[in-house]
Amino acid sequence: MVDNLSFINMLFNGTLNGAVLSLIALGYSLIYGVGGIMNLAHGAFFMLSGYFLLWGLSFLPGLLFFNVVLAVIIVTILGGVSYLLLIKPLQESHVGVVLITFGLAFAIEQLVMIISGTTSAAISQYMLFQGFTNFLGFPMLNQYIFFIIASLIIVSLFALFISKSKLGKSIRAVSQDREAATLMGINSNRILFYTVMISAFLASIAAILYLPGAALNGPSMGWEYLTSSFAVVILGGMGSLVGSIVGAYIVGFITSFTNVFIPNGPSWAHIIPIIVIVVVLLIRPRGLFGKKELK
Amino acid sequence: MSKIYNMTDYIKSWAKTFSGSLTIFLLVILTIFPFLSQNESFIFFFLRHFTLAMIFSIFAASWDFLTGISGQISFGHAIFFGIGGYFCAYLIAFQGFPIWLAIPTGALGAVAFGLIIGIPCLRLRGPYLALGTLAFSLILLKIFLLGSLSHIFFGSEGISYNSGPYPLTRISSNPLIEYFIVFITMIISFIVIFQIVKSKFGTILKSIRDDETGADASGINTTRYKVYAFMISSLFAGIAGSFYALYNTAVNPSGNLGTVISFFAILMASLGGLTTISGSSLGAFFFIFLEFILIEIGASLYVQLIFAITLIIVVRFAEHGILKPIIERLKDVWDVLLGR
Amino acid sequence: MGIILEVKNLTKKFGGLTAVNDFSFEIKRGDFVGLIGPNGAGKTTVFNLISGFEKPSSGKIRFAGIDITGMRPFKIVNLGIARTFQLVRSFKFLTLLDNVTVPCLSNRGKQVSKKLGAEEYASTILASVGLVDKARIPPIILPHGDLRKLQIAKAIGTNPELLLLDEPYSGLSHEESEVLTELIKKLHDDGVTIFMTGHVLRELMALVPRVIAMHQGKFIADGPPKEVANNKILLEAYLGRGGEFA
Repeated sequence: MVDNLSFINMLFNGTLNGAVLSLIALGYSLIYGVGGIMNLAHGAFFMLSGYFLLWGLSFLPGLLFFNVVLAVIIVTILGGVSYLLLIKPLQESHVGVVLITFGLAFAIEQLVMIISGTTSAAISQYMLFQGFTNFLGFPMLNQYIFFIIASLIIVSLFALFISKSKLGKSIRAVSQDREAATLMGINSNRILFYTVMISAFLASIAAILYLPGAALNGPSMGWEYLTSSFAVVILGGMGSLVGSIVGAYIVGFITSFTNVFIPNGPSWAHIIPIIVIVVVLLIRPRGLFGKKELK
Repeated sequence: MSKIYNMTDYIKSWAKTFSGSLTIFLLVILTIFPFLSQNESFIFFFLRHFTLAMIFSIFAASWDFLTGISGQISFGHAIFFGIGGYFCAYLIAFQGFPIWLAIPTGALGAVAFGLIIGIPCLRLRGPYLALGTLAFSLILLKIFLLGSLSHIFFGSEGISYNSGPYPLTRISSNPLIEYFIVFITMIISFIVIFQIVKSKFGTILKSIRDDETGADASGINTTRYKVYAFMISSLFAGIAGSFYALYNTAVNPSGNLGTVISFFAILMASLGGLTTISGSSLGAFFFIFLEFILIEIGASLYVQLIFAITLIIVVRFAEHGILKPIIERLKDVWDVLLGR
Repeated sequence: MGIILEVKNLTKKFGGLTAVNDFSFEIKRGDFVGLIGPNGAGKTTVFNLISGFEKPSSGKIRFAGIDITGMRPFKIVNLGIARTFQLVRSFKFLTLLDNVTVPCLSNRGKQVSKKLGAEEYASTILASVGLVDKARIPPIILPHGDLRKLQIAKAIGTNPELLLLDEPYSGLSHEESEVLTELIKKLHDDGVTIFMTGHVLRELMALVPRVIAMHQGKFIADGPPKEVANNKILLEAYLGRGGEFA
């Protein structure tokens, strides 16, 4: 039934989904745009950040800020290390990069499973903002409200960073034309290294802000976020950062709409990103704002 | 008549080469092996692992054919494996098909999916194709798991021994016969795949892998060949999947269509070398037995982690498979022994 | 003898950029024509449009009377147009022999190669370009000059009536260029219509009897090299960019 409550539910959750996906997909799209690399371990980075927070807080409860910073730092460094050890040596081989990041994602998932098992874990007690705010009868988790605002701020800061800062400009140069950028004296390998770290950073920030509200659904949750990232980036167009943001909110709203208004919604909602992928690839592989050729 | 003479000469000269002799040697071992022990528990347990390894050899080879030879990266190979298994199980349990008919029909069902998946994937290349096939396999998995569709797809329970009016039995109640049926199927499959790879058709597939635009510019209808590649690959994956269903006398979504199955194909074929079909078999054996050993020593929790790390190491350091350098060394030894 | 290639009002836009602008020309069977213009003039795009690797935004392309506008590349090859690429490409992990066998296995190539067998025929092609002693070697370890010869060998495999050569002299030494020139002349003598682009103009202008010039996607001139060389617009385009000329 279409009533006010359901409608607000859909709006809120759609925005929430968009907020999460925009941060995750932004990082994913960045690595692809700059290096032509599909980092299949991206979802694992997201998931791992959440679990680091869980582990850190079980060892050192109460030190929320410390653990948050630690989780983000570790995953960001992990991103950089993965690039240096695994991705960079295999740059020439598309198959190789795909396989090795796939292996990395699997390894991370298994490690987390060995340590924490497969059951879901809640870290809601660690939320920065507890409680709910009531909006026209619909209860909105404060942590989520905080997260949505934080996400928008981060995306804006990132947009500023990319367009104004020196590193940001170098990143854009490399993504447009790697050879030309090298001729201009930019070390594209180093730029790619920073890019992977920024991407991991974005994913981990998204995780530590969002997951306390959402709970950790087992180590395999990383794959769903990877698939959703891919759906968002394909829809928005590979290589387009604007497209990733727009795509994130579109996919977020479609998912939330399905959840609320379609019968048996929640079971279909899982498949939405995948359907998006299939539909876009069949109809318009370039996506909405796609610049790069589908090669 | 001359064709037969050519065949015998060919086989004779092949047998004299290093890889030929090694293959024959391994085949001989596989033939005698089941008769080495009369111990019943040995037969039921250990022998069946060999059968399982051979089933996965066919599966890994089918993946290698599509990815390593034809250059179409498949991350959803579980689709063809699982569909083959489901078709086969369904036909036996619910339609009373005899096993010898159900297996090929299951394989044909997998080929149908080869077309269903292959055609939309034609315009995808590289990582797009990988993720596209992964996405398709995830969709299929979710559809099979949906409770609301379980009257068609059997839900998370799948089909098992007594699901339907007819019991879903093994290929044979005697593990020895099961072993040899799978063994012979494996040999035939490998010979067929190998001949395709060696032929002019295979050369064209490899050219599409190495440079699709260049193949286009050489007047090759790359679309048609890619579809053929998908069909051939899915045929053999479907055969393997059907055997697997019968090996377990059951099929279920996560066991037959799960991403872990796709992962296994990639892993096994990569270990043996992405472009050697025979390597897939060695990779399959290696992993089935690694898993067996790990489970025996109580480390079953670590199995997939070790697999994942192995994949990372293999891909990072030896894109042509770690078995190839080992085989190269053996080959040098062989040459020395024969005084060449 | 007859017009083999007819290009009418060919236009290609990439987003806001017009790479080829209302470009028209004709080539007769047996001609030997060069396509010149400074870097970025649109020469490779024209080739891509003719060979089907890009679709025109508007305009028509006719080959031997058949409308091939927007046709898929492999079909165009099988009608009789072959091309080489500016950036050398090859089937990296196949032997040279296999590299040339593949085009011989195309529908059009098969018509000629089936008598001897595709591999045998490919061997003879490799011999004609002087690469037959390297038949069992993969392209990865070969020098640039050999790779350019390989591209031509592959093109020959499809038995073309019209051969599009995209910057074939790029990166070649003086000796290699001479060998290449001999090869191209021989193909022309055998009846293949040759259409080639060039940036190193000295060789080109001395080689071809007719030259079409373009700049910024637009048609500039068409005629014998000496005439075109005096074209004012062309001179400005080249000198303005500090490019090499005559």
